[in-house]
Amino acid sequence: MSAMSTNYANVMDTITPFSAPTKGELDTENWFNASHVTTVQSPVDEFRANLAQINVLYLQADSRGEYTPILGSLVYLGMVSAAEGYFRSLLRRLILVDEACQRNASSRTLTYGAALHHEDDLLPEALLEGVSLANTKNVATELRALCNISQMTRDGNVPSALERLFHNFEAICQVRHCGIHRFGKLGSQQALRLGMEKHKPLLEKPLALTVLQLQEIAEALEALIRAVNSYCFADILKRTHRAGPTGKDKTRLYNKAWQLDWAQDQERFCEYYDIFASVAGSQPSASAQTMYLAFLDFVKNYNAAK
Amino acid sequence: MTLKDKKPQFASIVEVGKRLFNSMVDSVTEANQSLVDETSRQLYIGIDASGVVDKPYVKRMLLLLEEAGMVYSTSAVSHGDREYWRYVPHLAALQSKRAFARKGGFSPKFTGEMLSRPDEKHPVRRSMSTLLDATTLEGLSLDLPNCLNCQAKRIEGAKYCFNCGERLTDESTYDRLMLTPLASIPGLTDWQRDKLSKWESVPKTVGEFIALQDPGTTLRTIRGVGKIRAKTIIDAVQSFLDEYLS
Repeated sequence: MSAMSTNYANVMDTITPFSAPTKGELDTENWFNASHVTTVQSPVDEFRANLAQINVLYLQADSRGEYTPILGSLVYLGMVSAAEGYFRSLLRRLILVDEACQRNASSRTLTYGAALHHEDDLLPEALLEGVSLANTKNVATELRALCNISQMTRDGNVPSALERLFHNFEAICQVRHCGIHRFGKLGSQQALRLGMEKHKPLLEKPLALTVLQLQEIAEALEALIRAVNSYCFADILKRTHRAGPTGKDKTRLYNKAWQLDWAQDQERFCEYYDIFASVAGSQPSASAQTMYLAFLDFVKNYNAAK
Repeated sequence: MTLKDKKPQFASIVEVGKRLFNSMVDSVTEANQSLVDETSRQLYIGIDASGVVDKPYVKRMLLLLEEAGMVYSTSAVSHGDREYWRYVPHLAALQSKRAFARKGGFSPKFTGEMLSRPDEKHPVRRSMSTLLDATTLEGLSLDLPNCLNCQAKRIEGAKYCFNCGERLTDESTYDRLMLTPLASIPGLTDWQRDKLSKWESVPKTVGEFIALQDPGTTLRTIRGVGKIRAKTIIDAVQSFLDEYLS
């Protein structure tokens, strides 16, 4: 009888037996690719390449007949992460290159650890470590606060031309919450934000994305990133002239004036061009010189206007 | 200018559509030949609906023939438990096959007489698989351009390439128009084509040509091209543009 009771005690302790309990510490230092060199790709190209790698995962699984909705939920998280990564990269690169962005960032607090250990080039990214960029409000707020992008506000307002794209982004981000925190099941908070009327019957139902839906999500994210990228490029470039020594803005943001001569402006112009241009993939940007000609055109019209 | 150039994704469907049309014309012609000494005419061909309804490309092909005016579609009829979609092939095509003429000689009078006869009670009945061979029917699909990034074959309906993961984009109709070789546009004489393709000072594509400030002057650098010939070439380009972009 006593032997029996000992056995019961053991059973009580291990309601969930596990054959190989690990006492050792996990070596997270070996989980990352230490030999990776930070690329000189533009943020948009980085995004494109990341998205393409993710696309290949589910599209090839599908062509082998091995696609499952679980794989879909996982790649979904990867897609949003790629978009979030784009915003971080963009903000970091702009802080490094653009005078006005640098000034905005200079009053921000950085952790001592980041200041001590980060390479200079990557330091600005540490500024945003506490901020999630997987929602419209934070993206709009940071683009406004750090980069003075016009028509973006701290309340999360975005330029009207980008509204629809950000609206979709917001929906994608809400669903991502369920993917991260509830293994894909729709929670009431997310249902409220997505529209309770339509989503009520789906409460606590799991995410089950098809390959076509994943492609639509990829498309929506890519459309957003490309549109934001284009918008910011034009906005900032125009500002470098308007708020420069030869511009008419009251607030002077730039000390250097454009010479309106390719040979003299090339270096500075390409610093901006390299942040925004997409040079690979199936939809590359126009060349730096073409963009420069368009910029000259803008300057000409701007100067001619009263 | 053909539909194939304008909508290259339909190239195969248009090509097979031509064969289908010829088969339809042959079938109706054959039926009339056996009616030459009778009292009726046959204008209709009925295509077994079961080989069409759940085949979107076959359906599309028939619609294209209809839109192009090659066949006239009329109400469907039932025969037994089968439904037949009825079409009248263009009479000109039937005429050119001598559908309404006796073998050996053509008599307009006889043709007129035969065409004014009443219709046969039933259409010529055919199934898709007798009009076209099985391999052709099975292989019928849209001609989608390969992925512009890695050249992998495109999967229908896909937005991203399964091989490289990049976005699948279409070469736009506009780009295709601009890259059309100048010497290949319709309405030019052989002499004009020859000169346009060989003369160095003249641009080689439609896009480059319309970008010229003064195309007339450029054209007149060709030996033998004066004001009038230059104008006919400019007019040909213009009507090509009008038709392409319409």
